Amino acid sequence: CNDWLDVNEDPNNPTNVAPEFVLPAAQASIVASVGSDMAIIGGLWSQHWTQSNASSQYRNIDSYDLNPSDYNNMWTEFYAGGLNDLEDVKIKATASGNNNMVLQAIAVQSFGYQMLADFFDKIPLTEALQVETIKAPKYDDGPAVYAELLKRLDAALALDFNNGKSTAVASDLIFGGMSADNQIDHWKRFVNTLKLKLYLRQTASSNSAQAIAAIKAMLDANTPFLEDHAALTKFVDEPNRSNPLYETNVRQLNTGTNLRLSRTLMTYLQANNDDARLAAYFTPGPTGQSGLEQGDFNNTTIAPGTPSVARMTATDPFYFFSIDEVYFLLSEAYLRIGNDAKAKEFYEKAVPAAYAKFNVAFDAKKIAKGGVYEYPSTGTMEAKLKVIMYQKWVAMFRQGYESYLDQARTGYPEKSPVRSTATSYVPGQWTVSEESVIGNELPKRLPYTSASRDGNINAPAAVPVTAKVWWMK
Amino acid sequence: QDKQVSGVVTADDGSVLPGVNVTLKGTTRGITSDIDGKYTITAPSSGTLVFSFVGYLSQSIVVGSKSTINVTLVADAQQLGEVVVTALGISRERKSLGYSTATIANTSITEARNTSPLDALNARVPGLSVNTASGAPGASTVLNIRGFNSVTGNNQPLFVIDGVPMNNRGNTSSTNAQNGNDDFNRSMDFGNQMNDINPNEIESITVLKGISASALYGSRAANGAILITTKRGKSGKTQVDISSSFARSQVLRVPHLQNTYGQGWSGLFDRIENGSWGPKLDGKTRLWGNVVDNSQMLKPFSAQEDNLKDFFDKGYEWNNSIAVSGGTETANYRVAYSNATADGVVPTNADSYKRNTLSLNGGLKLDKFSVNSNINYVHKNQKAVATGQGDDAGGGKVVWQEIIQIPRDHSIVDSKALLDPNSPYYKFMTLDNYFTPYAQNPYWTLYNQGNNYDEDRIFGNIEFGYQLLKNLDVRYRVGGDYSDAFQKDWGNVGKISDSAPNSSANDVFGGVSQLARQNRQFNSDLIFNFKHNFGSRFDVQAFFGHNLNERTAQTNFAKVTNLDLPGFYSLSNSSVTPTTFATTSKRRLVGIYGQATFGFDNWLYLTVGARNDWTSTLPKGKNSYFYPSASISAVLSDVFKLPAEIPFVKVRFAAASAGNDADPYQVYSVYVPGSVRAGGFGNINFPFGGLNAYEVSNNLGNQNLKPEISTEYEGGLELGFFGRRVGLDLSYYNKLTKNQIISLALEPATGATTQTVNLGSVRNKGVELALNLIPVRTEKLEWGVTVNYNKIWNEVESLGLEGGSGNILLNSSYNVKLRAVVGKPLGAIYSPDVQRDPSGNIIVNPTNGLPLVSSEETYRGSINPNYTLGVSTYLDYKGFKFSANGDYRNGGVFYSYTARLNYFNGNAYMSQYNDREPFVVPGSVVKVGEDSYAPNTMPVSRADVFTYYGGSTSANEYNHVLPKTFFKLRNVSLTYSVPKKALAKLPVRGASVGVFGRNLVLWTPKANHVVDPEANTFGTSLKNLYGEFAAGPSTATYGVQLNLSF
Repeated sequence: CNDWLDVNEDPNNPTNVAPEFVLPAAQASIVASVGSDMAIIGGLWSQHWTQSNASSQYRNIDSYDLNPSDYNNMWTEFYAGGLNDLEDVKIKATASGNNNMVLQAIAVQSFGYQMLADFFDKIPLTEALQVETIKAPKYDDGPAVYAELLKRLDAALALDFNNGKSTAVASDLIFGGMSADNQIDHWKRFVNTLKLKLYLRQTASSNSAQAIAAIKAMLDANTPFLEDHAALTKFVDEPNRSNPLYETNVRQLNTGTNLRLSRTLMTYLQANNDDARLAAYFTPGPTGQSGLEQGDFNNTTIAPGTPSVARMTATDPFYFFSIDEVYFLLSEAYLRIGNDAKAKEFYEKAVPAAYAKFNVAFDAKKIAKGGVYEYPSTGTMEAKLKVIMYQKWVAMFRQGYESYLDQARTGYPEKSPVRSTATSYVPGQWTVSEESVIGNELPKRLPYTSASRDGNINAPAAVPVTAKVWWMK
Repeated sequence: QDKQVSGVVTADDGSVLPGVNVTLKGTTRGITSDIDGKYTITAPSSGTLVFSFVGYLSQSIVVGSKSTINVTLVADAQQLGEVVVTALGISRERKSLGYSTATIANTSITEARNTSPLDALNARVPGLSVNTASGAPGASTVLNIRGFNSVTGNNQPLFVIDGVPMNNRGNTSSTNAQNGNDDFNRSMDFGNQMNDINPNEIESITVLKGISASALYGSRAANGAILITTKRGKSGKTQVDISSSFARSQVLRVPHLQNTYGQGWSGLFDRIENGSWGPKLDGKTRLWGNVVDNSQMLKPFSAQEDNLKDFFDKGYEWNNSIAVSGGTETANYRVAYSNATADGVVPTNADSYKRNTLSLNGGLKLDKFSVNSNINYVHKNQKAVATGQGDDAGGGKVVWQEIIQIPRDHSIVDSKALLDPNSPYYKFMTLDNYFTPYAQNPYWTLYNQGNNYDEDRIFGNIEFGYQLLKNLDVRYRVGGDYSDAFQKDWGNVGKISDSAPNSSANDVFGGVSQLARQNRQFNSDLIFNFKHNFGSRFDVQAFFGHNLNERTAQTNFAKVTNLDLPGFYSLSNSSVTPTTFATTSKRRLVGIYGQATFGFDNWLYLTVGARNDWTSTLPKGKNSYFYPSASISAVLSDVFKLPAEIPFVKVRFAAASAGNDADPYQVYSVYVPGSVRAGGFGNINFPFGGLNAYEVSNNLGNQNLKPEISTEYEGGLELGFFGRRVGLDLSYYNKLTKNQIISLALEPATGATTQTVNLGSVRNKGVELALNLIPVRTEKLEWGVTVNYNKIWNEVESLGLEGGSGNILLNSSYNVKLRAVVGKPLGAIYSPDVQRDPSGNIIVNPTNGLPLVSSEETYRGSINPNYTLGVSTYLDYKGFKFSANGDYRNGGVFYSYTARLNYFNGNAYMSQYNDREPFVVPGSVVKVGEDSYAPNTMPVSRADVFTYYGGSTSANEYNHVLPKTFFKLRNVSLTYSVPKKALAKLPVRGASVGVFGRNLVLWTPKANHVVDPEANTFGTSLKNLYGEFAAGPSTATYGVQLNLSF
């Protein structure tokens, strides 16, 4: 009788899976979450694009009117879709001794954790992903999250990769197909670049001095950083296998034209005769390139078809780090440690790389003496930082979360005191959304999700979207 | 001095009655009448013979000097003495039952010729709620007995045919699809399996409401049971019954819309808008639509009041059946065939239903051995119009969504020119040139999509019986339910040319999906029956049994999108990677059970029973559970001398519990195929980049899972007055379902999102009242009225979510949430409210006058009605029988996406406030300080009137929660039976003709003039019962019927 009843093992799903079969789905989860929800809000809050006045999908984001439930799905996909799978890979790869795979798991998991921490400030980290024993993980404070992530990254770099078990991982979607040594080298560079980003993020915080010291130590030690994009490029133009931003915003949405050119970005590019980049970013409407004021989605005087539509395709790569971003990080890093020559050198590598990323021909005159994007060698550090940040902002199209976070840290581009239609408006300065529900302020974070608060007694109390994340200026 | 007394027992209709108990009062002496109604018994002259037979009033006759006593028994109109089928196919006298049951005879099931038998149960039984998803042929019917008990589990009763549990699989997309979003995008309702049986072959349906009645069926009957008894051949001449009906159906309810404003947005005319936010309709001729080949169409700017209704056709339904039956004393048979064909109100056969059934019924009785069998075959073919908001990436848009997005001044039927390339208007109606890029020509949608559902099903049983001893018999019954269903859904590719006026509209990529489903159920019962009289006053009826049950299911699904060749609907017609999945599931259960009824003096009965189950779905070693039941019934009128006006009084009390196991595969954690969510609408599915991948399942296994336990107490009173022309049946019950098997949402940061756990409890208390009246009963005329009243107090008592939100989200759309909340009824609807100051005034945004949305949700009501009232009446006069029934449901709310869309596009009747001129929100205030407010003077601008009603960030979402109150006239029928005398010389034994109507009247309160509150597009589980998402209209049906017997 008991044998007859023993039929409760799921025949449809395996109970044990080797980590190399979990790794690609884990990587894809982080890619999909950062590359969709965060790319959309990043581009809106970076004022690359704004919500169309002919549709309504992202009005809540563009008016800073966020509900605790708005990012439930993203929160869920990060933790229960990606970070948990990476934890599974980490545990199993550690057990089998493949430190190459352990390094990969920690690298992508830390990348994901940082993205979450930057949008939410406090997040569950030390008690997260232990569902068998901890059902209500505590939220770690922002500085503690950063410290813990850096500790984990250092530990990963210190692993013994010559243990004879750290073989190549062919199922790695980012650097798969290389020799083990080459793959490990790439992932080490990835981790170093991520560490650099983590340190730079802290430059406006109370932890600034230690962070800059750490940056100096990395640079002085000739730490190897990424030398090309760290990207997922395997997207194809078919449903469920495309770039996540395109898939959610265009293919699967009944209106594919929600994201329109923001006047903020348009004025800046046009003021700098950068029409080629504008054309690479946006499909013009019937009247040519036309921008909508940020958040002006209730505008009924501009015909719905007029504002330019953000370009995106099914096969756009997803960049963990694009090479221009790496150069911008290095440029800022050298600037921060006082090596102006190196800062200029990397700035002048970053800007052409940003054009190349979108296949836009680059005219070297732009960064040459007298050019519109010239590096201000004689300027103050603040002037140099401003130039780097403006260029990084323009370069981070479809990676807008980075420029949004940079702005909250450095204040560049500056917040405009007037609307973008005012005569005194300085092109490129960020304007507060026309439909802002938080008054004359720019948003600083996402509200803690109801997905977490509903089931976790240790989730923090609600915090307004105007409350700064710990490292913000 | 004893002598021989003999005679014949006949019924009041003249037929002889075999099997009548003839007993000598005060002794153990007794005999039953034979096949010809004859009996012989020895009795003293001073003795009294008691003639009793189920369904008839007993008679007592003093023997006296007579040696021949012929008796005519009168049928008991109240049927208080009838035999009812109880659990496991065991018959019991109704008076011995300590719990409430209700039996619906074939005549009530077939009087209005419902193609779907479950629909005929509407308003018949207090405590049984019946909801039909839509007016489409073959639409799902959801039954619920005594309220919702289970938060995330099953709430449907167990369906049993002739003692064997049946499958009642729902075939809506929410159960078909891998992706839950299909509920909102494109979902189709292909009905539920219990509606696919032939109503004419149902002898009766018994509803076992309480657990004490159903517990012997085990776990699955914790929500009550619906027992269907099929017709069998009777001894006598071969009889042929033919029944035929034809009916038309038409739209019952379309939204009542405004007819004052025409096409446009923000108050201005706009020839490409899909809404009616334009200027006032002035009747003047205007150009409309796109300019095509330098020409444009003209039409008056005036309301097309019936444009929605005009879109629909009249539907029809044909029901034909023939049955041949007969038998002898030792053998009987019945063979029946039926055919049902229906086409609904949507033009074309996009909503249609065809069903052929064949049933074979036979029995054989040889001395101590008997065998009975009933085998049924059903073939069903159905097509259903999709609901939801459409899926451009796949099958395409949805007709209903498209037709409610048409301005009030447009005629919808004019778009039909699309079907005629020779029409001068054709070119204006194509995808490229249709008047708006925001909606699709509904005729394109209709003619470029389709689906097909085919199912073959065999179910039935065979039962062997053997009389082991005089008092002991054994039965072995095996039954099965085997079905194979194949479903295909397709939508054409609809590319819009780059240079076309509608170039900004989405292309429709087209798609084909195929789903094959197989369900198998095997069930066997071995039952020992014992019956003995101890002396003249005590009797015992007992049984002991063993049950085996196995259910298996297999599903194979494949879908492609991005069709290459237009109009070719095959999985081969695409270059993209198909989405596929295949699942199998198996669950097994072993049970033993027993029950004994102790009778005392034919008026007091005590029943005790128990069952123990072992299930495959609970953790090994912890998969056994036991549950007892007990009930008492006392026919007080047999004991106490009561006034003649009150000839019958019975009281009853019952207490019982039942356990419920979990779904399969909830015990162990697994890995699942890699599918990653990409934003609100996208996914990345593996294989991807040439790699396969798995993910850690988000559902954490639970090796401590326990059964869900329901406990119910029930008391009842049955009264008969005035020669039993007034009958009252009152029940009160109190049921607690605890250790709920809940899919608990976990904090995702734990690494999992759900775990099936035992948490929380739900209580249902209720009062059920059935009042039967026969105000007039003469030889020629009888008028009867039945009133059912049902009220349920339903409450979630605990969810065990300490420290969390204290609630479970069951479903949501556009911020309207269905939740289980402690202290609220199970199925509570919440939505955002406007912000309010302490005095309740609406706080508005000082810059635009629009109400601010509160971050707190407000409770809008329960999906359960406050109370329901069912009324039936009949009038018999000289062969004419008129009958009608209707139901009124008071209270409750539901979500309506149709309402939402009407507000969004300015068609809503309620969007006409202040002539759509700027207005200050009545009673509104602005916040001027931390806790101070000032009257608001900022009007909502003309352009923001839309935002006020239809904007997505406004607080208007409570407008989409509508009251569920309604009255429906369910059935009306008038039948004339030709008198037997008139047929005497014809070969015809019986003939009747009639007319009938169904759902002819629907009344809803003013606050809902949008949709039929019964509409439901999400399937048959609790989480899906909260409303509609672009559901089609409900329908009214009327027709004629003919019945002949030879």
